[in-house]
Amino acid sequence: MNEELFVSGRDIPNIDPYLNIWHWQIPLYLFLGGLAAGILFFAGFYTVRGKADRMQATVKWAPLLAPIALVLGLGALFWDLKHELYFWQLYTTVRLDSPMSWGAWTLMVITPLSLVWVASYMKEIFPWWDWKFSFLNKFEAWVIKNRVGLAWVMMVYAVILGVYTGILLSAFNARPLWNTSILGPLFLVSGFSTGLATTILLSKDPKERKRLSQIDLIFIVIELFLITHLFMGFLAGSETAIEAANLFLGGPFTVTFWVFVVALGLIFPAVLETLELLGYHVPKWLPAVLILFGGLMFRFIMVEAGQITRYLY
Amino acid sequence: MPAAEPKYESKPGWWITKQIGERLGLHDYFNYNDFSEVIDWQLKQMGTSLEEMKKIGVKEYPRKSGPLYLGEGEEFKFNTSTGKVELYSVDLADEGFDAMPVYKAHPEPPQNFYRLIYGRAPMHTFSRTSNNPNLWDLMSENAVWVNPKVADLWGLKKDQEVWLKNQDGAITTFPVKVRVTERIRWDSVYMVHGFGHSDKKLSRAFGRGASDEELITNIAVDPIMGGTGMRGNFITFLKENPATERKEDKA
Amino acid sequence: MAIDTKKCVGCGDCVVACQTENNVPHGYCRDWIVERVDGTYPSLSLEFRSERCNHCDNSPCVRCCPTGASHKAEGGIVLVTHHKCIGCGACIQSCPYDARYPHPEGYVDKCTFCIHRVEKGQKTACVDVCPTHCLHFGDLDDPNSDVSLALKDRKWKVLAPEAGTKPQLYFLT
Repeated sequence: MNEELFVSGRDIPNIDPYLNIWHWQIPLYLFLGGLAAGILFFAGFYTVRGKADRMQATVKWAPLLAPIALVLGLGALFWDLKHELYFWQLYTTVRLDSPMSWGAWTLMVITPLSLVWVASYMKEIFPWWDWKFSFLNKFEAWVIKNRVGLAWVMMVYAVILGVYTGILLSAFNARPLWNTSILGPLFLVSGFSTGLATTILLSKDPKERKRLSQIDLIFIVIELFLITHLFMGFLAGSETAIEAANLFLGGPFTVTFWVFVVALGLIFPAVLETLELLGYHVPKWLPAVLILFGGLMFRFIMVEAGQITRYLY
Repeated sequence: MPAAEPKYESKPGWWITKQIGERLGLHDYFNYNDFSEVIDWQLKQMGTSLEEMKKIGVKEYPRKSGPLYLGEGEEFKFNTSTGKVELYSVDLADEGFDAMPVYKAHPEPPQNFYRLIYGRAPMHTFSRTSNNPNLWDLMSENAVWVNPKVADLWGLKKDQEVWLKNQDGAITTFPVKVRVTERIRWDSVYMVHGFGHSDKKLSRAFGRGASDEELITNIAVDPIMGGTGMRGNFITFLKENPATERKEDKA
Repeated sequence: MAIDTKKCVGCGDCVVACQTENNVPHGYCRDWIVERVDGTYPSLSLEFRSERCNHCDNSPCVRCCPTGASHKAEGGIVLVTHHKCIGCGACIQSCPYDARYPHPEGYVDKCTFCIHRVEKGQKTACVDVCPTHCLHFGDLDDPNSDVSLALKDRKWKVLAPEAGTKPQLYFLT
């Protein structure tokens, strides 16, 4: 029998017996960030493709939620900080090595961008809306003229934001469960999928819903493919990586992950969407809600389980 | 001479003794205001003084009892009846004891009992430091060390709380956590001495771990030199709180 | 720093010395002791390790800090500037040794190798107080420093070298 234990009474809150320094705020923020990235990407995408008129919910309605999600996410992040009053230190420096610095600056760009985007559609959405000041009206006119350009910038930043939500975790070498580069694309795809699901919920146009469902289906398949690769990578990895994978393959997270994330959050909605596309009647909100639920669960589980995985003791 | 001034209501031992003495009407035996006067008097008998010792710390006097080591070829007699180093003790033989130690098998634990071995932890000094905040942080309770084979037999898990009962039916007041470790034999258990305090005024140490003293009811005495051996007690594990069982018995 | 696992008895004096020297809040610690037992009774091997921040050469905590609060001071000691730290916890996640903790006042705290003492030419509190003299501290670039001499003719190991952080705590075995 091998035994390794602390004999100096080490029992630091949130560090021992296993790390629990990030609570609900971080996974919630990762979820909201991915969701906003998904919404903004497709709003940009269909604008660039010139199909804004046929994809009303995608381009006009859903982006209303993006700044709200981003601000809520930022609020959660701020809540998570232990030394809140010093948060401005984030914006005194650019640190290329630090994903968190990247994220702070990305949010600094994409949140105002999303607000400008929403503002440019305010008059279309609410016909009684008036900007009151002439310079604001001039600015609006300029934005509307350059919408395609704005759409391109927004798409680029949406991808950065989506990837960043995964990279934030995967950059931590010390947590074997997170330390895989697949997490970047996986979180991007999952975030886009939740963004699409939100848009599907808002859309009243059956044609638009059908188009979005088709794309979503592709994303779900990619996601399942990436999850498979994630575990293949772990199982072919070092001892710590295998231990990390075992949390999900027989360990304490097995049921929550495979039932809530994979079955209820991915496979079940994929089947429902396929049935719908084949012409069967399916409650239109069900697959979307399941995807959102699965996406949220996925981030909670990854953050919680990742903190348990470690090198020593 | 205290190196650091005592904190709060702490009083030096001499002060407490003097107060008791005064109240018993023994003023003549405590004829000083401060113990430094006594130390000074004692040092003066040695030909120095407190003032001097405070300055120099150590004072060396020439040896009066002769050289410390034997010289080469010097005749020497040890303080024994043969004048030699004795492996065979004539004196012991005269008194009717074994002149050379003869091995006698020590009592073995009965079935399901284990020899209780107690010892110390490097963090604590006996039982008196267990309420010290810094040292309490280091080690706040003891554990009963159990060999993995024994743990398997009893179904004991790491950190499971058990009560211990010895061969005379003495039971620990408080439960103690199990540590499953190869560092103890399968016929014995080990625990650090100095825990399981029952005084609630020891705000930190109260009820932490179990006290080995409660289980030491059998004290072996060496028939020759009177030394005591307290590791001849045998314990067994109680997985349920014996206090609740006792209540049920009454009801 | 080099730690002689053959001399360490696991008394915890280094832990208390650090807590009092650095005013570490109650319930927290910057160094700690691990006991490792291998084998089956009666053939056992026992190792005591006094552990703390490894002051890694390739320190992940410095790289992932978004504000530059975690930094490497001259001489390779990894430090946290309290008034720059936002308490995001990224460095805590990045440390394979779990050597950092969130101070109740909000910033992240860790072993400083007693830089306030080292600057005055003193040794760290833990080294000074160790009753078995099992801790050796000094400049690894100086061949005559305590730590270099300790490492010269002994076998040593570092913890979790596979994490790739180039840790600078050497355990003499």
